[in-house]
This record gives sequence, C-alpha cells and structure tokens, in this order.
Amino acid sequence: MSSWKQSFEIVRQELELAKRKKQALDELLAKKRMSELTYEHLEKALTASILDLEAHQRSLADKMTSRADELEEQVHVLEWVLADLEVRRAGEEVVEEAYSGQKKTIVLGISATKAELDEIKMSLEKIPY
Amino acid sequence: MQQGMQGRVLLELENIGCLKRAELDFKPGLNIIKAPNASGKTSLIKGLTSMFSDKIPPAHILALNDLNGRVKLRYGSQIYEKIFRRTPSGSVVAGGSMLPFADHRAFDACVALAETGVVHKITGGEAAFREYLENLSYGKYYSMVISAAQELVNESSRELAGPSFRKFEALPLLLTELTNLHIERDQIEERIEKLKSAHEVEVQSLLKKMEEKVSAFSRAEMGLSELERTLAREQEGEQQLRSFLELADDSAKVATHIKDGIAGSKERQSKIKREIAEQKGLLKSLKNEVETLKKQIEQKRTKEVRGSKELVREINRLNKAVILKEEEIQRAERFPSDDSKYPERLVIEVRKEMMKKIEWLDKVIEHFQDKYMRRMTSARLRFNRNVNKAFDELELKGFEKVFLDQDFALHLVRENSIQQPVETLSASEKLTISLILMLAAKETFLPDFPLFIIDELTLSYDPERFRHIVNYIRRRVPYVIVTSLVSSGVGGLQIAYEA
Repeated sequence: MSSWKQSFEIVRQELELAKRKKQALDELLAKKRMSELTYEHLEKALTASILDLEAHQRSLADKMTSRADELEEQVHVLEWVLADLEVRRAGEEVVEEAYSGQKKTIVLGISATKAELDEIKMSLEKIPY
Repeated sequence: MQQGMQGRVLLELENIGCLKRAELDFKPGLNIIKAPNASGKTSLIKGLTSMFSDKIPPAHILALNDLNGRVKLRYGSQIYEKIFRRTPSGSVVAGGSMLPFADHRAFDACVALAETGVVHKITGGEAAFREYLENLSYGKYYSMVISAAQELVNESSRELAGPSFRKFEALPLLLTELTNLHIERDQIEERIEKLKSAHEVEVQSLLKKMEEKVSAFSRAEMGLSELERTLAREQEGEQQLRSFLELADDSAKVATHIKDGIAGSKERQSKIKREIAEQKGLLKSLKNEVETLKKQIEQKRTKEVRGSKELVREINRLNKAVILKEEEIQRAERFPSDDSKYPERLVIEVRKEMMKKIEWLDKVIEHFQDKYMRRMTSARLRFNRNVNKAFDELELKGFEKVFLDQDFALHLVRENSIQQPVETLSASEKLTISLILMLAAKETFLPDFPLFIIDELTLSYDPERFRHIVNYIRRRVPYVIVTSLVSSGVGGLQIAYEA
C-alpha cells in the first residue's frame, strides 16, 4: 500500500472512531449517565480532535486530487505517445521489434498509471464531501 | 534620637546569666566594658539585647538557678523593664516593655556576638547572605508568601493527582472502550442480520420451488382430467360403434369398418389409460415433493437461524459489558459518597475550582516573586554601596572592591584585581570584613538605630585596626558598646568611656 493510502486509511479509521466516540458520548448524555459539565468537557476535546482529523483528511485529499490530476495528464501523454508509435509503425518508420518493445513498455505504463489513478479515485469517493 | 540625662543610658540587671546584680551607665560615644573571663560580659550584652530584640530565647538570658530575673533600662526620661520568670515546668517566659526603637533586625545588623557567628556570615556562602538580606530587607515576608502559595499549589497539584482525578482523567479511555464495545456489538448485529437474510433467501427459494411444484401439480391434475374425459369420450364412441355393429349384421363391409373402428378405439383407450396412469404417477410424485417442501419451509421458519444462537449470546454479553462500562463512566465523573472532602461532587467542577485556585496562586507567586526580586536587588545594591563606602572611608589597604553578586555570593577583589576566596582570608581579615559588612547592613536597613554592640571580638585581632574600625563606627552610631577581655586581676565589670 502506498504511503499516502496508508495515511489516508489511518486518518479515515481514526476519524470514524472519533465520530463513533462522539455518538457514544451523546448516548451517555441522553441516557443521563453523564452530567452536562463532563459531557461538555469531553465533547470539546473530541470535537477538536474530529476537526483536526478532518483538516488532515482534507489536506490529504487535496494532495491526492493533485496527484490524480498529474496521473491523468500522465495517462494522456502516454496515450499520445502510443498513438504516435502506431502512426510511425504504419508509416514504416519503426521496425517491428522496436515497435513491440516500445508498445509493451507504454501499455504497461498506462495500465500502472490507471491502476494508481483508480485507487486514488476510489479513496476520494470515500470522503463524505 | 532623644537623649535625656545628658544622653546617658542606665542599665540594671538582676539574675541575668552569671550576673546576680549589675548596674551600668552608658554614655554617648564608645563604652568599653572591661572584665576578665566569666565575669558576665556576654550576659550583660544578652540582657541589653533583650530590650530591643527577642532573637535570644529567654531561657538563654535568665540565670540557670534563678526563678526570676530583670532587666531595667532608663533611656531619656523613660524607664523600660523586662521580667524573666521560670515556670513550674522549667521553661522561661519573658514580659514587660521594650525600647521604642526595638527591632528584631537589630540583632543581625547591630550586635556582633562571637557566638552568633559574625564570621560565619561571610563564610556561609550565598545562601547565608541571601537569608541575611532577606531578614533585614523584609524580603523574607515575600519569600514566605511565595513559599506558602507554592505549598498550596503543590498541595492542590498533589490532590489533582489523587485517585478520583486519575479516574476522571481516564474518562476518554473509558469512552474509547465503550465505543469499541458498541462497534463490536454492531458488527455482531450485522452478522446476525446477514445470517437472517441468507436464511430468508433460502426460505423464499423453497417457497418459490413449492409454488412451481404446486403449479405443476395443478397442471398435471388438469391434464389427468382431460385424459379421463378423452377416455370417457372414447369409451362412449366404442359403445356407439358396438351398437352400430349389432344393427349392421347383414352388411359385412360395414361391419368390418365398424370392427376396425372399435379396435382403433380400444387401442386409443389403452394409450390414454397408460397416459392416465403416468399422469397419476406424476401427480403422486408432485404431491410428495410439495409435502416435502412444505415440511422444509416449516422447519426453516420454526427453527432458529443456524449460527445465530452463539451470536445472540455474544450480543447479550456485550450488552452487559456496555452497561457495566456506562456505570464505570458514571462513577468516574463523581467523587465517591464516602469522600471526606467532596462527597458526590462532580470531579470536573472540583477540578475547575482547583485549576482556578492554582491559576490565582500562580499569579500571586509571580507578583510576589517580582516584588521579592525588586526588593532584594535594591537591598543588595544599597548594601554594596554602603560596603564600598565603608571600605573607601576606612582606607583599608588590600581590598579594591567587596560586593555581593546577583546570586548573593560575596566577592573580594584584591588591589591587583584578583578575586580572593573568603575561606583563604586570615582570621583578622575575616573579622574586619564581617564588621564592615554588619555596619553596611545597619547603615542600609537600620540607619537610625542608636546602638552597635561588639562582644569580645578583640581576641586574635590586630588592636590598631580594631580601634580604627571602632572609631569609624563611633562616628556613625550614638552608642557603641564593646566588651573587652582583661587579665583576671581586674574585679567585676568596669566601664571606660570615650566620647
């Protein structure tokens, strides 16, 4: 798993846990298992923690969006290079052996880039905003 | 100061130290009390000191074998008297009047007693000088307030580390544990739901299968009825053919046709009968299948979902654990009912109060530390000024500068700008510096105090230098009282005056 994805997963899990804690805290207040004062004290710390995590998640999402843009550009360039290779082959500007090798490399690059791009898009879809 | 009776001070002592009775007449200027060893010089000084300071405990002043003692002092037109009394328990109490200029600080700044360690002050290091100036400048009061406030802060901090506060601090952890129980419970509930859904899918599949079978059964029944009707029609047709055959005896050709028709009908009837038998078999089989499916559905619906029993048990266990955790949280936010200080009170409330108290005390400490620093810095600088003034005026050779640094460490700088450690001074130099420092303290903090007392410091001391210093003191203090050891030939306390 790439480092950004690992960070993203950790933040997502922590955020989910923090929100569940908030839910548990609200339940305690509703059941009158906790006083308003203690609730406010814990809620304040928890809300601050949630806001921090959300900010961190947003910052990660921004980085990931920027990376996704880069990857899309990369795919575009590789597809253009592949098209150029095909044109050169049609014009017999490139020998068959070189064509096969280059095509293999470009296609591999495109599929790896698309795989990373898909992973990023899937992760970004998990963010609720 | 007022000086009645030509400025004379009359001192009467009774049962003070080793003195049974003594009367002394002090005059403005230098009063030298000459006496041999153990004749009461120090007792006299202690008695006199008791009239303006309570630093010497009464038990050290009253004669050991006496029950009562007295110090009487005529100063100007007034008489001041102090009585010492030994109680039945053996302790000594003192009562009476003190001199109008009495000041407990005078003992430190104006009484040079060998036994109270005038030399020790300069060899005691920075802590001794800090304490010395704290007492004289009243900085001590600030440091006492600071210490008291700090002690209260420490006490509150210790209290904040107590078990109830520790439990309260663990609330976020307890909340995490409770949340984990909720998550675990939700996961199991989800698993139960999945099992139920899978079970329901199985039931629905069986129902669908049964419906199909029931439908097939109905179709088979209808088919059977149709076959039975066809058979009946065929049998009826055969009957008709047979009746036609009876009527057509004489016509062999017609009879042959009718016989063929009857044979064909029989053949068809046999075929239909076979089909009916097959259809009946099918119906029986379908009926059995429907019955089996019915039983299976019934069993599925009445029996528990497989694996759900353990999960439900687990849910019950988790529900109990959730309740226990909630109770633990509830307990953690309050002091127990048997708490001696805050029974049943909310920890957060008490914590807030204590934090507020600590915050306030920190401000008090900061405020008084600032005041203390200002006072002590001012005291040190004034003291240093007076020390150097004394050195300059006395023109004592050997020292260029004597001062206390900001840490109250004493620095002695020789004429060649070399610093000399106090411990390496000669006994005579230590005495000289001690006396000058004391005099500087008096000039700084008690400039109007009229007495300066030196008790037997002439031992192992350069008499010329001593005289030089005493004369310097005499020019600044109205009454200078010096005790001096003489040979045992002289009887009792004798006083010599130098105006």
